[in-house]
Amino acid sequence: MAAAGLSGMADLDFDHFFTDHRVRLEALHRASGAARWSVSLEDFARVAWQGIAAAAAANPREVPQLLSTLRAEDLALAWGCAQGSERAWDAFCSEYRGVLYEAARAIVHEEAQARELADSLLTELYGVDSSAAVRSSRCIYFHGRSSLKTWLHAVVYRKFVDEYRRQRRLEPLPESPGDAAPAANSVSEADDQRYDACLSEAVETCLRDLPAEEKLLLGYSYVQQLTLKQMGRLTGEHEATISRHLESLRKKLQKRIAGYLRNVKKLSAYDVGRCLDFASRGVAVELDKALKSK
Amino acid sequence: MKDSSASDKPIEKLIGDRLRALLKAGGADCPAAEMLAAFVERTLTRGERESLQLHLAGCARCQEQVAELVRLSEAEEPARVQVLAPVPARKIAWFRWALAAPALVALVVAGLWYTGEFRPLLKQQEQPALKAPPAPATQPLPAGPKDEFARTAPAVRQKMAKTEPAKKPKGEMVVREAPARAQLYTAEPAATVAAEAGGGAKEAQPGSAEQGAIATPSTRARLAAAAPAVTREDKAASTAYQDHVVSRLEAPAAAPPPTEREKAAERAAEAAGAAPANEATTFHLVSPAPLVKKAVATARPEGWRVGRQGLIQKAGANGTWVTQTSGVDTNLLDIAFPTPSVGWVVGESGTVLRTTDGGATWKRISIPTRADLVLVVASAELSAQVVTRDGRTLTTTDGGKSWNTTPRD
Repeated sequence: MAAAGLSGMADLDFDHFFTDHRVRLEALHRASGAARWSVSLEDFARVAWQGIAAAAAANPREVPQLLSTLRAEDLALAWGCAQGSERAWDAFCSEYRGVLYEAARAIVHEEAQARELADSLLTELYGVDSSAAVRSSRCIYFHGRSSLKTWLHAVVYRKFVDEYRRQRRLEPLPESPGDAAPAANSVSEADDQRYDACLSEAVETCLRDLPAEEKLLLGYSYVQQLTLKQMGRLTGEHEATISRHLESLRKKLQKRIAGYLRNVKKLSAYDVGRCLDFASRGVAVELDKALKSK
Repeated sequence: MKDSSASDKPIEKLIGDRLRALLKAGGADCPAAEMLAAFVERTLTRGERESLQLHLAGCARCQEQVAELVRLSEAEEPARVQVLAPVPARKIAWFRWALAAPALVALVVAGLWYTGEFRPLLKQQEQPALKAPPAPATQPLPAGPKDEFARTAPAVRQKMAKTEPAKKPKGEMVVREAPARAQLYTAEPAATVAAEAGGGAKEAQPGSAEQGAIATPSTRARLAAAAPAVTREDKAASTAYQDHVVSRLEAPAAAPPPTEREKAAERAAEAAGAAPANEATTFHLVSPAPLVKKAVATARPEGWRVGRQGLIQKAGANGTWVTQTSGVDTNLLDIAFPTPSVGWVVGESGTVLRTTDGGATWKRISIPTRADLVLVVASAELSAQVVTRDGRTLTTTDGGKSWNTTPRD
């Protein structure tokens, strides 16, 4: 059992945890219907502890809050599956098989591949592994910190990335647009190279200096292309707030880039303007190149 | 401006490119899938969240996974909405009509009454209703003075009808018709009830000096009997109507001269020792649903009433109203005494007062709302329910130390 694989120190912590929060754990265990899947209170508590141990170690006072956000019912079902309860597995399949197929379809965009991906994951969740002597279900990695559904989404996406990208490991990666060569038709190649270097350095330095939260927000927007609504779901803010935040971030960043070019790279206002112009032309050429290649 | 926005785009693109270049591919230190799922569901603790954000800001794999999880969860939403959306949509549409219809009818009736075209018809309908008061729609009337009144009311009415003049002053419309949709916030003096039961007093009369009038139990009993089961939506819908009536009540119009019937009523009330009906007090209106509840379910052993600017009055022994010190200056809208010693008062801007000494002193109770509280129903010393103007109900079972909110349906 994965739960039993904790170190001695962790076991000691678990004992404290179990003793201190027994009443709450019993209530959660009862409410989760774990008895249906033959999950004992101690097993339930151990799995819950695995999920919250790191956070509890950092701040023991957060344990009640952590327990209050625990998805006890999902935890019990997943652990029932992990223990090999056929009733639990039937319940899991009836509720989550469709979820898995839907998620796989949304990720792969191709029916046969999506089915293959979902079926392969289902076998892992059930714990069928021809190479292993005993059955080992992937459900042991679920500890009730999120809903089972969202966890399955995460797992299916991870599996997709592992499986399908591994197949393309030897294929050449597409050129990163950031590494694109400067415009071939620039008036002065020397200038362009200088501007490119300056601008890239300025942008990179300014980005590095940003707090992680702001960098992540820019990442959601520029790299992951999330919508304002999707970003709002992640940050818990309204779309309008996200929009304002992004706008102020852009302005701040542009100001800092221009400042960096002037103060650190000692460019004149004219050169800063040309830098931006260079970036503009560079993008136009990239687009042209991309269209031609298609 | 055009130039700057044109130059913004490439910079933004460059930012995206550099951000992408700064991201690492991810590896063994990446958090478990469950942590990313919990991040998307926002169930992590603050510390966990901050630490994960730090990782996400530099990890392409995890950032991409989080983005995918959000997309997946969002993609499922339309399906849920497709199933659920039609139900509330229909409900809202239905309620809109249900809300609009009574208000429209009330306005038309009020208009007709005001112009004098509807009065004969209403007068004809009044008599049979009094002879056989129908059963309350919600709950039976509690035993006590109201029952007695119900038995004696027809006789009183017939007696009063003999002295009643044929024509009523126009200004009476609001006062006599309004109780059908609204009620004054008086806990009627016991003397008034007794007088009515004995055939002395009669229907509410228009306030002769200022704005208010008193709705007597006869009005309430009739309303309770005739009022249909009213939903919270109806309460909200009637707000516009109430405002209209309040504005009419509060309009500084000259009071009409008392009619013969009014004079007779005053004489009867005086003979019975009731508090004067023309007390210079401003009253407010409650919505129909509270009215029904209150009229049929709340028994008040003593006479109390509330009004503007923190006014709380108790019926005195000789038929006068004795003003109590409330300690607030907000308009008070309702009062309830579950026991002779413990009483509750509610009013505008989330005002709740409570007395434990029969009204000698009132203590302000903290409540987690600033909304106008239009109704209080107190069932025990420590238990009370208050209703906001927008239909929310707040309940306490510990004398106002804590409140549970029930949202509007």
